Amino acid sequence: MLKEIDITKTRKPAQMTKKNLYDTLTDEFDGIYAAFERTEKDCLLQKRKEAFAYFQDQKFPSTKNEEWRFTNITPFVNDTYNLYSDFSADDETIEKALEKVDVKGLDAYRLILVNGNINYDYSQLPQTDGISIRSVSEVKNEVSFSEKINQNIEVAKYPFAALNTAFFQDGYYIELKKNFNLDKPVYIIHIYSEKENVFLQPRNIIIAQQGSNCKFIETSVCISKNTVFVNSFTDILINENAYVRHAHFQRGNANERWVTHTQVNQEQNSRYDNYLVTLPKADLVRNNLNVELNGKNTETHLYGLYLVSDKHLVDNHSVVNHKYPNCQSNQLYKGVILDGGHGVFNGKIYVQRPAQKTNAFQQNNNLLFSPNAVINSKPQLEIFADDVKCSHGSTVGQFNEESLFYLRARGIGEETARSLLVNAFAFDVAEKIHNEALRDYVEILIEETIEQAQKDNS
Amino acid sequence: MLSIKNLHAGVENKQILKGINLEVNAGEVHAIMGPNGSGKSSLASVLAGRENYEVTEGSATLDGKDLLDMAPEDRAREGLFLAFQYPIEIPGVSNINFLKTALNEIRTYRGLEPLDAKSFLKLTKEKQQLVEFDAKLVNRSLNEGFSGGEKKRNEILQLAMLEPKLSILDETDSGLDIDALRIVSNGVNKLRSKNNAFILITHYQRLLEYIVPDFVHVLYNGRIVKSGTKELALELEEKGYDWIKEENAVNA
Repeated sequence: MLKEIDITKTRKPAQMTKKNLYDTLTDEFDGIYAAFERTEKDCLLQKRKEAFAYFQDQKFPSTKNEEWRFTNITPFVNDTYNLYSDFSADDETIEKALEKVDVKGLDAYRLILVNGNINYDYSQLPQTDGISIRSVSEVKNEVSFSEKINQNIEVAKYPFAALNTAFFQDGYYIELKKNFNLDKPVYIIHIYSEKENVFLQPRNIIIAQQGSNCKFIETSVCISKNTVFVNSFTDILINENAYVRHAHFQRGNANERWVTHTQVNQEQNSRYDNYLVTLPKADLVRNNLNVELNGKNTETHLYGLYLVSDKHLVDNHSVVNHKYPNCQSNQLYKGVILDGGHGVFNGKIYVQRPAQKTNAFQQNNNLLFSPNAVINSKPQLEIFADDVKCSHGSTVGQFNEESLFYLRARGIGEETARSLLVNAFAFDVAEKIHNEALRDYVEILIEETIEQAQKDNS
Repeated sequence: MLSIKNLHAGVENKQILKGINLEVNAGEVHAIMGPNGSGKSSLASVLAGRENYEVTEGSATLDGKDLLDMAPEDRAREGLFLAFQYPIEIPGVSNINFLKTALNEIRTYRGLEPLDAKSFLKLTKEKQQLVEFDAKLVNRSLNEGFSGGEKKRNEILQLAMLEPKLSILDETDSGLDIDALRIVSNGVNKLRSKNNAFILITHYQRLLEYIVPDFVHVLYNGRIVKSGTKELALELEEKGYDWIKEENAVNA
């Protein structure tokens, strides 16, 4: 296992004065880059340098930036963070973390990462040549690596993606060989255990070669009393006729800030299904999910479910870019905003001129639990082709008190009744999850969330 | 069993119930009739615990326990059942899961073990035959896409499953055709026993031909202004409510 000893040496003594994240990054980039220079190839270094220049130029986005209009990150980037942490965590911490994200009845391989670095002791990886699972730190000096990352993304427009590219250190690299069909899902668990306030930038990549088929379930868990800001970036490359199913569960605590970017590239006849389930109550969750359709006859399904509670901000931004004919994309995002919560949905679908016979659908439905719940929903559709079937829509509704009374009048306690109703609202997203254990897990997570919200209210 | 004394209640400063007195004993069936707007459904809502009603005076007890102090779910667990005039459609909640959750919450409250899957299914099958409820509907989403008659029959199925002490049927006969009315009434008649009691809220004497009440009350302007036996219902059917209104105008 590689340890980035070079980098940790560049760490400066803890600052006594409060320093914001931008200044920390700017001050430390040169030292960190110098360390990268000793081990990395020019093509990757070039990307890092460019990306950092973009970031310095853009800085952290303010609410004047249209893509960040409803999500004010200023308070989070004004905090002081360390940029690197050690990768160690004791067994007790790891076991505690694993217990927290256990999915009852799930039959899956396990890939465990501690602070971005693969922990092989706790992982249970498939023993086959059909799939290769390694650390990014192991592969980043292979020439092809820097070609695979950041495909079809204008890094200059995504400050967090630029930042991740400039600074990333480690993460997972998964490659499925041609025509390989993985028998069970891989449950990828990111554990963060920190003794200081940190800003972490894991980098992950999944490559599904032609005709391969695989399922991933991903989640993160923080075991820390400190403030943790994670800016992660995942490239997913799906080659011809390959099929990737990707479920992502996000749960957190106060003092956790998450920005994720998932950049999906689909070649012809491929399929990608994404299920994104976000629960309280990290301070901030911002997800960017971009899907580039680089060939004809592709199929894409994006399902989202977000439960947002008090002092919790969940922002889902997505882009689906249709560039070739006969592709189908379908997006359904449902949100439940509890008292004091704030949700943002921004979904963009582009249908470029050559993309005739496109079927593109997008729907965002929201349920507000209280007058103090906020949702900003912005479905967008831009069509330049003339022979397409597209629709998009957004709804915002209030919690139905009549339904609640009906259930209670049958002896069902208020908390259970609310859970039942939220589960009912979430049903058409949850039912799309093939795996039964995961479906049950979603139901349990909803119940726990409602229960906790009731407790917080009383 | 149910004892209502001088009950006053309203919605947002508007007084609707203006001193209701009613005693219902185990084994009895009471019918409450009255013109539109007299407060019949409000009475049902106040007893079941609908939150927008405010009780300003009086009391209501079920077997000596103060109903008005309890959350709606606790009233149900104590044995009160309201068959809704307009049952709610809840897409995504399956009828069977709903019944199971309700039954087991009530059982837990009464200190009983939750029913296992097998006994629950057996019970459901038995009750659904009793009230002639289509087995297919049991697995659908709660009331979603049900016809008016199917919704009302579903209310009676719930009543049969939960075995309440006191059932209030709020215009269960409205919107039913003759066959559905017969089926719903048969269900209620089979469920009648010396240990439970029913309050039927209705506009029409027709229901009372199928479910014969022990007492008939006329509610007018938030008060019970006349009580009698089933003959009173016939008299109302024949003469309408005008004479009641006139009598009260004189008395007032």
